[in-house]
Amino acid sequence: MIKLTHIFFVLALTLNATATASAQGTERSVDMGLTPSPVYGLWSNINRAVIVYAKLHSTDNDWLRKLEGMEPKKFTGKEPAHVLEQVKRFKTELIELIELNKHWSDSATETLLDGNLPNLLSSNNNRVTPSQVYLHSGQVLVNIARYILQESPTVIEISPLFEEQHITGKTPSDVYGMVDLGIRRLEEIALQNPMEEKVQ
Amino acid sequence: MIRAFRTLTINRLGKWLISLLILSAFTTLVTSWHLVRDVTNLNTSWSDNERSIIQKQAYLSALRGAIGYGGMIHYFKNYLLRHDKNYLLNTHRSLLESKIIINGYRALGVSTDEDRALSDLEDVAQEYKRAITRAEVLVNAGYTIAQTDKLVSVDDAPAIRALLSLTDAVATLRQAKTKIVSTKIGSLADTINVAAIGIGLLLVILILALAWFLRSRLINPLSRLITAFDKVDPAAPGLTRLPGSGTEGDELDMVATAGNRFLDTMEIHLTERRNAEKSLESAREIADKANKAKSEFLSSMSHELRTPMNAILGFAQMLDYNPKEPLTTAQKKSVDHILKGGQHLLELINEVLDLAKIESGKMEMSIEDVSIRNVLDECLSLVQTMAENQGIEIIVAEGFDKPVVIRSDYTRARQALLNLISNAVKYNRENGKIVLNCYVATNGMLRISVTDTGEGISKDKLDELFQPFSRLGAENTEIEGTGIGLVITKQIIESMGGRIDVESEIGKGTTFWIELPVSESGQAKDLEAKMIEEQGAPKQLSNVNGTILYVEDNPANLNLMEMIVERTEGLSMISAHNAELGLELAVNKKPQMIILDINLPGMDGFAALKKLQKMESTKNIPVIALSANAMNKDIRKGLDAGFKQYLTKPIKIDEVADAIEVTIKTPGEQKLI
Repeated sequence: MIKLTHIFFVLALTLNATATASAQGTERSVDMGLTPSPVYGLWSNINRAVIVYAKLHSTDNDWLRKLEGMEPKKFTGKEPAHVLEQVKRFKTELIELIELNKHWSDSATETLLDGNLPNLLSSNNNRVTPSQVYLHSGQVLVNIARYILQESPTVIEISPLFEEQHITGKTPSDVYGMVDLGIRRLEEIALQNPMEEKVQ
Repeated sequence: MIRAFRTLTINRLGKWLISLLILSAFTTLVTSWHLVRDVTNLNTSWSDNERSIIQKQAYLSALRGAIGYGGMIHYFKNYLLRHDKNYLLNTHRSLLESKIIINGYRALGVSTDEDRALSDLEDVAQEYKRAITRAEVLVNAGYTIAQTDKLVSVDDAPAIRALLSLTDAVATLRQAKTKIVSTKIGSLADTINVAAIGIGLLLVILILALAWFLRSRLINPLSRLITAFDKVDPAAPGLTRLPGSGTEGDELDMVATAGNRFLDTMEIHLTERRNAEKSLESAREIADKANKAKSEFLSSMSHELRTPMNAILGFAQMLDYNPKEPLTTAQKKSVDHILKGGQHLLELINEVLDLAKIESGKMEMSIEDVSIRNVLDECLSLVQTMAENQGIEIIVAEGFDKPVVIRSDYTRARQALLNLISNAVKYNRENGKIVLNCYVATNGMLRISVTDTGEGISKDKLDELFQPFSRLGAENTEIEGTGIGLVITKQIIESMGGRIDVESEIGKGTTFWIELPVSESGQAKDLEAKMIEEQGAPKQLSNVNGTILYVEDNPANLNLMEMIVERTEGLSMISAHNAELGLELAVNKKPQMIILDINLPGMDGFAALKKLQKMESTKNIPVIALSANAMNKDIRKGLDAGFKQYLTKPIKIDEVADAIEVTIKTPGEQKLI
């Protein structure tokens, strides 16, 4: 025979299970579905654009070879947020470098993907995603391309800079290494200071 | 709690009903919990759907901007037409934008239609990418606008169709999801309705069942118990039987059983008490008879003793004060001894009689408003001489100056206070002091204290003070006393609602204090004090002429009165031994005044006075009462009846002489109090 205490025990368990289930929340985040690999491909294009940029202002082949021969360093444990910080640093270095050139138009610093796209990329918990890094990286590529177009004394093709790289299996640390490579190349360009004579 | 519940034997049905009610409550709670959770989930699902749709619509809008005529297509066509490299750059920018937007859209989850549309858009973007790259090469190679446009031509219709397809897919998706959510809402509403109705019905049924159970199995038996208790005969509780619940061994049945045991016990105790009361009643009757016999004996003895004492003291006074035949020194000394001894014996008789009256409950009190100052003054007038003879100073404190009125019997209050003051004089040291004080104590009573400077009493003997015939060794001294004065004082004070106590210190003195209730009216009617005041001091009979009629059945008193009258020239006395003869003599002889005893054989003094007042020939003759009835109420009764004065026995010569003189000289004045 089922005793009353047994019934109360079952009821208590049921209540507890119900309470536990209802207490579990669901965390939602917005991501554009991009992996670090497309971003890595984008930064391969940016590094190519940096080389093109350097060639516009220097004829020192040894230096250019040295610049082209620079390899990405190995990093580990990096997150999209670290990569984004590095991208922003690249942008700052690039702007400082470009601003030395009087021929650079104001539009060079305008936002690439203006409009409502940044809102679409926002995350409800401010988490940095590869898509956001892709956005900023695209902005960098377009700006460098624009600068190359404006500053090139000869006809130059920029479409190759936008070729899609079919790369897979990259991590945020790999992307971080590519951004770091771009920054180091910019620093090398700044040291070479190829625009100084023009400015003066 | 559960253990207590399980041990209940009231009724198995009741236990099951309560269990089911608790179970229903739990079921309701769990069901409600689940329903609330379902509603919350539905709300979350609805919100997610809405967010997804809104997000997709935003992406769709962004895609139109990136790909449509304001975006990639627009820039591409302008580049072909103008060969402006900014359009080239913007075309690439738009391609980048479209890539990330399509990726984002896919990340939200897509239907087949959406996937197809997105794939079409990706294909279009790839085609445009190839075209823009080729166009740039051609432009850089120097091809004209027409040549370039001809060689690099892209059909934009698929892009537009893909965008439209995606728009339709989003709309379809929204409709589908809205339908799903609506269906879920409807289903949940049905569940809530069914659950509410089901639980409500279940609870109603259970509550009704519980109410029926409580009424039939608890309230009704309890009502029967209450009714039975109400009908219990206080005189015979054992005859009533309390009804049980009908279920042997349950709580109500146990209550009834315990109640019946209680009633049986009450019956036994009542029987025992009745038997004890009967025994007590018999004992009390025996005691009452014995007490009555004692009182009658004491009364009789008192009367028998007082009658000869009256003669002894009266005639001794006559011997002492007879101016016609003055006594020799030796004779006067002897008569003084007779008077002193007689007074002491009379005092002893009176006190023994008082004690007997108190103990038999026959002491009558006439409680009225009394001025404590008047009581004190009278006491002081009586003890002042005695105190002066011993060189004792009596100090009256300021408390007595206030017009304080107490509720007491005037005579008895005076008796009590006089006893305390006279004790303070008797047991004081030579040239000592007595301090009298009074004040209203915190309990609202008037406290009167009498402090002497005597030897004091040790604490272990204080309790003996109020024991009869206990004189604490004073019996071996020259100080006279009966040893029952304080006993009587205590009884008198307590009979008047007061209390008495004593404080003493060896070598310093003793303080007796009494407390009596203070009157709220504050109006004193000190009958006796006024009477004494109006009577004034005794005077010698002089220049009084006339005849006195004395109606008295006691020959000794008649002889004594005759001797008093003979002392005055011009005054004569006629007498009668009963009222009837006295009335006859009054009518025939018309005396100047009549002295009437109250307790006469046959017609008493009051009846005789009434007849005298009615008769024309005697109504103006002043009549004085002379009686052994010395209670305050007796005096008032006498004065109210019409006696000009009311004198008490034993006869005091000065008092009688003064009354005769005053009455004969002012026959018309009636002194009514």
